Amino acid sequence: MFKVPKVIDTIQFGILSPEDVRKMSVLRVITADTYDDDGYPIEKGLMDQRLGVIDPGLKCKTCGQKFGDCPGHFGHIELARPVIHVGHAKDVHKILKSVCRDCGKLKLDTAQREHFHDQLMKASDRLKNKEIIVKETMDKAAKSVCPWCGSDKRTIKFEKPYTFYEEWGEERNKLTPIDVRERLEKIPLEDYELIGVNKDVSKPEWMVLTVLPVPPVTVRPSITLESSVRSEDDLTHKLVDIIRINQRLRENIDAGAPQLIVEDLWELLQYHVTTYFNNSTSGVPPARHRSGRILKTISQRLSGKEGRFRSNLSGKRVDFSARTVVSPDPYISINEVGVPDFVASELTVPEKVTVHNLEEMKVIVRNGPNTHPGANYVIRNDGRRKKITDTTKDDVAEELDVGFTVERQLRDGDIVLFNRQPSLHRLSIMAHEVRVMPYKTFRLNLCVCPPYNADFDGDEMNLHLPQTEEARSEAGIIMKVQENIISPRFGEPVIGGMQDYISGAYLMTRDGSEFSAEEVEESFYESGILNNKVGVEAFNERSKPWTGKELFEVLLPKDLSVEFRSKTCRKCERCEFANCKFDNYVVIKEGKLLHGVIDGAAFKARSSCKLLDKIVKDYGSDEGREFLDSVTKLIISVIMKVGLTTGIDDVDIPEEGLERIDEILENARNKVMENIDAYNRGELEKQPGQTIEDTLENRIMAELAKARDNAGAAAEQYLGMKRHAVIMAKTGAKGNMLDLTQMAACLGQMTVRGKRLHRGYQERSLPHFKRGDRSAKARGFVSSSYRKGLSPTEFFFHSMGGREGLVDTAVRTAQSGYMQRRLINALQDLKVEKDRTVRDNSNNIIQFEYGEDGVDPSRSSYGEAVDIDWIIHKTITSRKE
Amino acid sequence: MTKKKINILDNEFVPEHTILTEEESNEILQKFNVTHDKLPLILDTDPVVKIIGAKSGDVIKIVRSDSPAGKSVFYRYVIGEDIKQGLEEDLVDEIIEEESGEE
Ligand SMILES: [Mg+2]
Ligand SMILES: [Zn+2]
Ligand SMILES: [Zn+2]
Ligand SMILES: [Zn+2]
Repeated sequence: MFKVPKVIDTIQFGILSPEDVRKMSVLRVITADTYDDDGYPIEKGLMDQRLGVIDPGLKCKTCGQKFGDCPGHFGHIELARPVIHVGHAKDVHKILKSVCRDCGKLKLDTAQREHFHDQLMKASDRLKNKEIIVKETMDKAAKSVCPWCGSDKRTIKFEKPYTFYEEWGEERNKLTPIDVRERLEKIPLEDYELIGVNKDVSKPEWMVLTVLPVPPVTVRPSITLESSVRSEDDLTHKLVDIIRINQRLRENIDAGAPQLIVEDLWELLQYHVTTYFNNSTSGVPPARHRSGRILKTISQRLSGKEGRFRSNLSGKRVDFSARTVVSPDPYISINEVGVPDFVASELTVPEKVTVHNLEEMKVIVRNGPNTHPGANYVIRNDGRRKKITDTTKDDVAEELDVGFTVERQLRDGDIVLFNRQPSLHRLSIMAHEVRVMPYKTFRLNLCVCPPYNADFDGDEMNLHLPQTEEARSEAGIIMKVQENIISPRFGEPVIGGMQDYISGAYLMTRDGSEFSAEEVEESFYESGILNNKVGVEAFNERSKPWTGKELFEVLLPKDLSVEFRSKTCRKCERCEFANCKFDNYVVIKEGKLLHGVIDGAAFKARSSCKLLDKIVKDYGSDEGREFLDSVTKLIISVIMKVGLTTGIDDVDIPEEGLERIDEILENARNKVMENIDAYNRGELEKQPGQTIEDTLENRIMAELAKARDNAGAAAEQYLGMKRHAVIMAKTGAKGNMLDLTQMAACLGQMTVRGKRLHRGYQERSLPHFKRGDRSAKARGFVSSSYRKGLSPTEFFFHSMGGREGLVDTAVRTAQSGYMQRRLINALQDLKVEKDRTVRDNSNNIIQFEYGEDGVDPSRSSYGEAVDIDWIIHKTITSRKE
Repeated sequence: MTKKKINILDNEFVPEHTILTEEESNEILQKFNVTHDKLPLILDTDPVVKIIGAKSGDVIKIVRSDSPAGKSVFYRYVIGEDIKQGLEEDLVDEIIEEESGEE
C-alpha cells in the first residue's frame, strides 16, 4: 500500500520574513551564470548543485538523495536595495494612507480604536466580517490627522504598479522603497490587528523585499535539446537578470556613483523583480526572451486556463478511464455502452474475495490477463500486490483465499460513467452498463445521442470506471441513462427517437399500412418481442394481415390511455379530434392504438413528445427504457421492409408548377422595380420613424419575402406524402418544409445583419451590376432553387449569407462558454436542503422554496405539479361512457 | 406642468412588502433555523424599503404573485449602506483585473 509521507493538518498563509528566507536558504546566490564552458554547474550560481538535482545519476550536494527523491532546496539573493513586492503594492498603499508619517501609529484616537477593536472581536462572517471592518478602520484613519503627534496631513498617491508619492499643497515627493519600508517598520505591534495583519505570521515591512528567495532547480529545470544545447527555464532567465542588475547596482553604490545612475539601476531592479513575480502586470512592459517570446514567470505558471490551478489541480488526469471514437449500435439497450475488448481487458474493478465468489474469482484469475473475463492483479491478505501473468495465473488461482482482492477485468453488466465533452449539463455524464464487444469503438444506442449531442462523424467519448461499491451503486441508481430520459431542464424526454425511427413509425402506423403474418413474425423476432411480449400462438390464431397500428400497440402498457395531435396535424380550423379524417389525432385507450399515426409527436427526443413522456412519468423508467428499446428495434425492422429513400426527384415540380413559380417571382421583381422607380421620382411615401431609404428597403424586403413564401406555397402543392423527403419533413424526422421549398422553388433573400447585401464595392455588391442598382437581383435575392442550380452571382451571395452564420456560431459558442463558466462558479455549491430551501455552502438562504414553487421539472408534467387538463379530460370522457 | 407624485406601491409589478414584528421575525428565523445574516438581504436604500419605512436590522416579508407557483414568499434582512460599504470597489476591481488577464 502507498504510505502517505506527511499529512497536512493546517495551512497558514503569511508573508516570508527576510530571516525566514535566509534560514530556509542553503546558499547565497551571487553569480549570474549557470554552467561553465564544460557544462559543469558554476558554484554559487543559479544551477549550483546544492539547490537540488535535475540530472538522473547525480546526487544532491545538500541532502545526498537521488534525482526524484530530493525535493530541491531554496537559495537566496541579497538585494542591494529593497524593492516593492508587486503583489502587495495595493496593500502597502492602503497601510501607508492610514498610518502617521512621523510616529507610525494608526491615525485613530483611543475611543475610535476601542470602537473598531470591539467590532473586530464580534465580527460575524457575512455582513460584518473582519475584512469589511478592517477596510472601514483604514478608511477612517486615512481621512484623519494623526491624533498622537499632530503631524501635518499629506496624501499618499499610488501610481501603478509600484511607485508611491507623497503630496502636500503643490509639492510632491517620491517615496523610495527604503522610505516605504521605514514607515512600515514604525507601525507599532498593537496596530497590526486593526490594519488586518496577523502579527504571528506577518509584518507589514516584509511587503518590501530585501532578500529574494531563489527557487530550487527542480522548480525550473533546464532542458537539453537534441543538439545538446542547454535551454534554461524562463524563471532562471529572469533570475539571471535580477542577479546581474543587483550586482551592477551594488558596484555602483560601492563606487559612489552619481545618485541618478543608482536610481536608474534601482528602478531596473524593481522592474526585473516585478516581472519575475508577474510578467503581465499592467503598466509594465512584459519581459521577453531573446526570440521575442514573452517570458512565463511565477504568476503565469499559476493563473489562467493553462495555469497550475485550472489545468493541474481542477483538471487532474485520472486512472481507470478510456477514450475512443463512438459508433452507433441500434441493437444494444439505451442503458448499455459497447466497450471494445481491448479496453475491457485493460480496465479493472477491485473485487473482494468472499466465500460466495471464491470459485468464480478462481476461474477469472485462471483466465489470466489475456483471456477476456480475466484478472490483472491480485492483492493478498498481507497487502502485497501481485501481477497475474500467463505463467503465474494457475499458481495465483491456487492460493486465492477469502479476504484477497482481485483486480478483475471489466465485464458485461459493470456500471461505468460515460461522458462527451463539452460537459454542458448534467446529462453529459451518465451511467451505462457495459457490453464487451469486438473492434475498436465505443458503441452507443442512437436514442442517447441527443443528451450527449453526439453524432458519429468522428466524435470521441470518455469512459470512467468507479472503483468502490458505493460509487457503483450510486451511479447505477441515480445516473443510469433510463433515470435521465426526462430532462431536468424542461421536464420532457431528452432521450428518445430520432430520424429513421420517426419516419419509420409513420410508415408503419399510417392508415393502409399492412404486414403479412410472416413479415410480422420476422419483425417481432428481430426486435426481441416474440416470446417476450407476444407468443407464437398469436400467429396461429389469425390469418388476416396485421395493420401497422396493431404492431405498434403490442409495445404499449396494457392500461395506457393518451390522446394527442400528431406532428403531421394540418392544424385545421376546426379540429375533429378522434374523427380527424387525416388520421392526425392519436387516441390510445387501454393500450390500444385506436386512431392516429405515430410520428415525432409521440416519441421524438427534445420535442415535447407525448407518448414517451406519459409512459416514463406514469409507468416509471424501467417501462420507458423497455418501450424505447423495443420500439426502435421494431421500427428498424419494419422500415427495412417498407423502404425509405430520398433523391433529387423528391423535389421535382411539373412544368406548370415551375411556370407558376416563375410568374410569382417575375411579378415580385416588377413590384420591386415599381417601388424603386417611385423612390427615384421622389414619390415614395415615407413611413413614420424611418428614412426614405429604410422605407424603400423595408417595402422591397416585404415584397420579396412574400414572393418567396408564395413560390414555396406553390411548390408545396406538388410536394405530397408520396415523396419521402416530405415524409421526413412532416413527421419531424429530419428537415422541414422550408428546406424542401428552397430545394424545389426558390431560395429567397440572402442577408447579412438582417439587411439585403449591399457592401463589397462602391455602391454595389459585385462589379456585375450598375452602381446604385437596388433591384432584387443586384442585392442578393436568389430566385433559383437548389434543384435548378444557382447562377455565379447568386452562388456568391449565398456564400455571404452562409459565412455570417458560421461567424455567428463561432462567436456565440465562445461567449456562451465564458458565461457558462461564470454561472457554474457562482452556483456550484447551491443545494436543496431537507426543508426544501436552497442554500449555499455557508448556509445562506438563496430561495425559501426550490424554484419558488418546489417543483422538480423532471417530475412535473409540463411545468406543473399535476396535469389538471388531462385529469379533467379523462374524467369527462369516462363519464360519457 | 405640475409634477405628478407616483406611489410605486400602486404599481402592479411591485410585490407586497411588509415589515415583520420582532416576534414574527424570530419565528421565521426559528422556522428555518438560521440567524438573520443568513437571510437574503435588501438595502435600506431600496425604494420600496424606504416607502414602507423599514430600518436597517428589520426583516421584511415579500409576497410575489408573479412566480410560477402563483404565490411565493421571501424574507429579506434590511441592511444599511454602512454594513455593505466595504464590499464594492475592491471586489469589482479585482474581478475586472482577473478577467482582462485571462480572456
Ligand atoms: Mg460530430
Ligand atoms: Zn537535496
Ligand atoms: Zn503621528
Ligand atoms: Zn387535425
